[in-house]
Amino acid sequence: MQNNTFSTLFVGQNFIKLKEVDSTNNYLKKLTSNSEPLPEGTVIMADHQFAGRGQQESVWQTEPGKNISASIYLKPSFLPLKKQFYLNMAVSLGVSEALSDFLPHPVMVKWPNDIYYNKKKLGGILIENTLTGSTIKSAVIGIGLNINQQNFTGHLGAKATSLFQILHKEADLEFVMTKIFVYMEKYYLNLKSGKYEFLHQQYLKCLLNYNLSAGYRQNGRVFEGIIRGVEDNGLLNMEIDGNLFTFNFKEIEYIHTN
Amino acid sequence: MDIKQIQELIKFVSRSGVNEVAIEQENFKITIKTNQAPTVVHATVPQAPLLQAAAPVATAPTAPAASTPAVPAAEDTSKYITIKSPMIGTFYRSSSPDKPMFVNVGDEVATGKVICIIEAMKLFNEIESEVSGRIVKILVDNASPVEYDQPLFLVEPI
Repeated sequence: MQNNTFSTLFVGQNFIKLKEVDSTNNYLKKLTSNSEPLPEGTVIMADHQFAGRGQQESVWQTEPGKNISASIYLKPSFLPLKKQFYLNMAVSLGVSEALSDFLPHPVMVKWPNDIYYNKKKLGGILIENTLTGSTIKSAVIGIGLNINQQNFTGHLGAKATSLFQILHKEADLEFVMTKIFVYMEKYYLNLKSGKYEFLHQQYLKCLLNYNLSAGYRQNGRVFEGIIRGVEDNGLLNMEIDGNLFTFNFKEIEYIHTN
Repeated sequence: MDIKQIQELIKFVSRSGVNEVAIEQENFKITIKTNQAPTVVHATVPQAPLLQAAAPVATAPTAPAASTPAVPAAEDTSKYITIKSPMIGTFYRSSSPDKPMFVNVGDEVATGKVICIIEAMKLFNEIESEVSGRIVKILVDNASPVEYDQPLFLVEPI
């Protein structure tokens, strides 16, 4: 952190590194319930996260010390609940833009917040908010990124990728992390000053398959569709045979072409 | 018994002031209840030939219900506080299927205690109680969709 002290105002200024933890999100949430108030921007990063969570029960397969498992503590109490999806946009943009700095092509976001490169999954985001009434008291942003892992076993082999697989060299995890701090702060400050339209436009720019024809599956039915937009509340707009449809998360599956 | 007779019977029962009348004939049985707001008619037809006559029963009994004075049997909930959903999403009673429920009926909750999660678009929102009291009723099933302002819990202040 010595070289990075002034590159952010708050994200990563309180940077806690752990050898091993069940889940960085859980660890951070426990810290917030302590009596001592936790500074906004606090980051937990673990070499090994043995019970990291993906979506619901899907477990993220990670080799110790090879990848980024981190959680960032934010307090977006300024954000109206109806605009909650913009927090997801800001976080997705921060992570994808930071990684794009290391790669020849832009990193994409698979709706709503998976991190993709070459149609393979580079990482994921898990956001857990605490609400009091209609105020977002705090947000714990969990980030899992495949960095130096060389191989993925089983069915993941075809679906997952890492920075190493793309660049054929190792990256310094903390250096990647400090890049994430910088871009996370940039987009978070945009969110704080209500630049919703800017965030929306940027999000569409890096949205995987935006305005492209691609294959999808719903209830076992396979079809071609074109993503035409994402609504304020996060719903996906898709054109199918000239008609516009709206999908909620989990209502639609992407079919990957690799 | 034809539909006219059934209607007559329902009128008769509703005027009589009794709560419930059950009539059982050789292959026909009808029960008329008037104790609660909607009049409930149960009819069972054991044999096929009578099916035609019995079929309209299902739609017949609603009309006289209005004339039946509703007995205020419902529990008085005015002393309870309703915790409502701050947003649209999916309601979860635990952080994951293998974890214990945040709260159960009878539990005492303090202000700031997490009582449920509402998930929308992969954003997980832990909802803190703004009141302290005892959970009297949980109004939504686990993993069901909820609307904005939908009542979730009844809490008895203590």
